[in-house]
Amino acid sequence: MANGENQNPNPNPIEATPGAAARTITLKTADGEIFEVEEAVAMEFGTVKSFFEDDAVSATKPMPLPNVSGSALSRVITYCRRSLEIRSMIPPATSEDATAAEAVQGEGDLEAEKAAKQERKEFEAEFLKDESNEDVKELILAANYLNIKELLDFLCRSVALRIQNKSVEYARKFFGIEGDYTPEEEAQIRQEYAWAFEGVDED
Amino acid sequence: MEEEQISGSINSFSDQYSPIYNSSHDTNPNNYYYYDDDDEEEESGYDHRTKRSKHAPILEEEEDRISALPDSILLSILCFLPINNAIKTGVLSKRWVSLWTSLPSLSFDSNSFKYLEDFTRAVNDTLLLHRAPKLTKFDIRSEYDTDLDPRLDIWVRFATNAKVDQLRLYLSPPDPLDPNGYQLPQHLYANEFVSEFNFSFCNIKPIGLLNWVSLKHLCIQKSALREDVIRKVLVGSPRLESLELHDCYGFHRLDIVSESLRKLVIDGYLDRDYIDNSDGGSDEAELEIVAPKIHSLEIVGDFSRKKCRIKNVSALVEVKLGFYLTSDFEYREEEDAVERHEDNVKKLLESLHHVKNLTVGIWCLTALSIMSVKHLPSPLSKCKCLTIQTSMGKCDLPGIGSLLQSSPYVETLVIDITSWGYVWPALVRDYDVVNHWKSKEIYFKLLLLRLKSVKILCFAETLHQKEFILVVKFLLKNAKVLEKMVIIEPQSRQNPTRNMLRKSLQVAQKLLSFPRSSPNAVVMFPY
Repeated sequence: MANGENQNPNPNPIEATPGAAARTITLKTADGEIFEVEEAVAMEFGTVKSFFEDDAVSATKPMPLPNVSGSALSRVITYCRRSLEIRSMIPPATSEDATAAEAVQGEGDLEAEKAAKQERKEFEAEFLKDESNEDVKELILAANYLNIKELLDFLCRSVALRIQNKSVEYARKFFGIEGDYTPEEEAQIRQEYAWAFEGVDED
Repeated sequence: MEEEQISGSINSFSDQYSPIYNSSHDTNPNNYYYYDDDDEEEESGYDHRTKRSKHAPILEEEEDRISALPDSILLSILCFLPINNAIKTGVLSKRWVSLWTSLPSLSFDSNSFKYLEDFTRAVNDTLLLHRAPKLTKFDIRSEYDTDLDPRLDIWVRFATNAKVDQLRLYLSPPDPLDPNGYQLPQHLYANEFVSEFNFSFCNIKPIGLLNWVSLKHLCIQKSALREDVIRKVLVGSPRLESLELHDCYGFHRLDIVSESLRKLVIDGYLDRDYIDNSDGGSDEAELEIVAPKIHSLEIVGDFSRKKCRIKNVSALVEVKLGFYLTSDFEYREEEDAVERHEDNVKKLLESLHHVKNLTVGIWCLTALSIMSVKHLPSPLSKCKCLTIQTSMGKCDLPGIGSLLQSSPYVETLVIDITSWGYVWPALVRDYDVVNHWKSKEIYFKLLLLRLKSVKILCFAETLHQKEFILVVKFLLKNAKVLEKMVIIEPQSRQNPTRNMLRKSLQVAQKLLSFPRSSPNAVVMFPY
C-alpha cells in the first residue's frame, strides 16, 4: 500500500451514482492523447466535474482539454489518484458531539491521520523531485485550468520553496519574465524596499 | 519595441481563472512569431519549437506563462514566501510591483534585523503600502522593549482594522526576571473577528466586558493570569475550543466554566515567588483543575512550583502527563523531588482512571518505578490506549511493569523511546529490576488479555538494550490476542552503515524468533 499503484481503481468512489464505481471518463489532451480515467479521479478536476454535472449524459465522445498536454495530464492524474488513496486511509470524521465512547474509536483515526500525513509528505516530496522548473510551471497551468485546488496549493507552495531567498534574476528566469524597468526605476524600488533585499543567495 | 510587445501582452490578460489560451483577447497572432526569435535567448531550456507544433492552438506568451496566470494564483505563490521575499517580487516587473500588497497574511520577525529600529521601520513601511482589505494572519515576533509599545499598539490596530483572523504576538522578555510584558490595548478585548490569539509576554487585563465571539484557539505564554481574568476570557469566548497556557502564573485554580472548550494544555507553571506570595505553603502550592466538559488535557513542562490536583474531568477522553519537577537547588537531590511527589502522581492517576487514552511521560514513569520498588501499586486504569514515554533504561522497567499491570483493558500500547530520561533515583538504581519484573510476571500474564496492537518508536541502538528485549519478549509471549507489533525508527538520524544494518537485522531475527502466544501476531520491522 505504501507504493501507489496507479492502476488501482479508487476504493472509495466519491459521490458515487448508482453503478458508478467502475465508470471511467475519457479525456483528450491538446496533443491528441486519450486518457481513460476512473470517474472518482476525474471528478477531482473541477472543470470536468462541472462539465458532467451540467450535462448528465455521460459523454460518448472524449472530453477535450485543449490547454493541457499529455505529459501534464498524466502527472496530474498520478497526483489525484495518490491523493485519493491517501485520503481514503482516514475513516470519515466523527461529529463533534460524539460521545466519549465514539471518540475512542477515534484513537485509531488519530493513528490513521498521522500515517496519512506522513504518506502525503513523502509522496509530495517525491512527486516534484525530478521536475524541472518548466515542468512545474506546466503543471500549475494544468492544475489551474482543470481547477484542482489541492494540487494547485501544493504546486504554489513548491514554487515558493524553489524561489525562496533566491535573487531577483533567478526569479525572473524562473518565471520567464522580462524586466521592464529602466535601471533607474529598478534602483528606486530596491531602495524603497531596501530591508527586503538584505541577505540574498546569489544564484 | 520588444518591451512594448511584452508589456502589452502582460497587461492584456484578464483576471479570471479561465485559461489564457482560449482567450478572446487573443490579440496579435503575430506576437507568436515574434517570440520565436526571443526563444533562442530564453535560457530556460524549454524547447518551444517542438512543443509549439504539438500545441497547435495559440500558445503565445510562453515565456511569460506564469505571469499570465491570474493574480490569485501568483498571490497564492507569494503567500508561501517569507514577507521579505514577497516584497522583493515588486522588482520583477511593473506588473508585479504591487502584487504583494494584496497578501492576506503578514508575518514579521525581528530576528532578521540587527537593530530594533530597523525592524520597526520595516514593519511600518510594509504596512503603509499594504492594502488588502482583509487579513487572515498577522504575526509579530520580537524581543520586547517598552519602547515598542506605541508601535505595537498601531500594528495591532492595523490588524484589527483589517478584520484579522489570527493574531499572534510572540514577545520575549529581554530579561528572564522581568515581569512586565506588553499591555494589550483595551479595544482588543472586544473583537468579533479573531478566531485565534497567541500572546506571549503580554499583560492581559480587560477592564470592561470581554467579547471574543469568534475565538476558537487561545494560547498564552509567559504571562500573569488572574483567576478573574481567566473567568472573563472563558465567559466572553462562547466558541473557544482550545486553551493553552505555557509558563503562566498567578492562578491556583483553573475553573473551566466554558461549555465549548474541549482541549486544555498547561505547559509549566512559572516560578514567580514575589508575585505568588506563596512559598511552599500547602494549599497555595497546588493547582486545582475543574474541567468537566473537556475531552483532551495535557499537563506538561516544569511543575516544580505547583502540584496539579484534578477535581473534575468527567468527560475527558485523552490525557498526557508529561510534566516534570526539578529539584530545589539548595539541598535536595532530584530523586527526593520524585519521591516527594509520588503521592501526587498516584492521586493524579486515580482521578484519571476513566480516561481512554493515557500518555505517561518520563518523569511520571520514574515516580511509578519508585512506587513499584516500594511495593506500592499503581492505581487501576480503564484506558484502552496507553502510551509510555521512556528511555527504556533500568530505572524504567518497574514503572512499565506497574503500568501494564494496572491497565487490564489496554488494546493499543505505544512505547515511545525517542527521548532521554534524566532522573536516576538511587532507590531504583541499586535495585534488581530484572528479578523484580520476573517476580511480577505471573500477575502481568493475566492482564494482557485485550492487547491487540503494539507500536514501538525507537532508534536502532535501543534494539540491543536488554531491557528492550525483555519487554518485547514478554509482550509477545503473553499478549494472547495480539494482532500486530510494529517497531519504527521515527526518522533516520543518519544513513545507517552496513554494520548497523546487519546488527539491526540480527536483532530483528532474534525478536521475530521469540515465542508468541497469539497465533495471528505479525511483527513488522520497517527499517
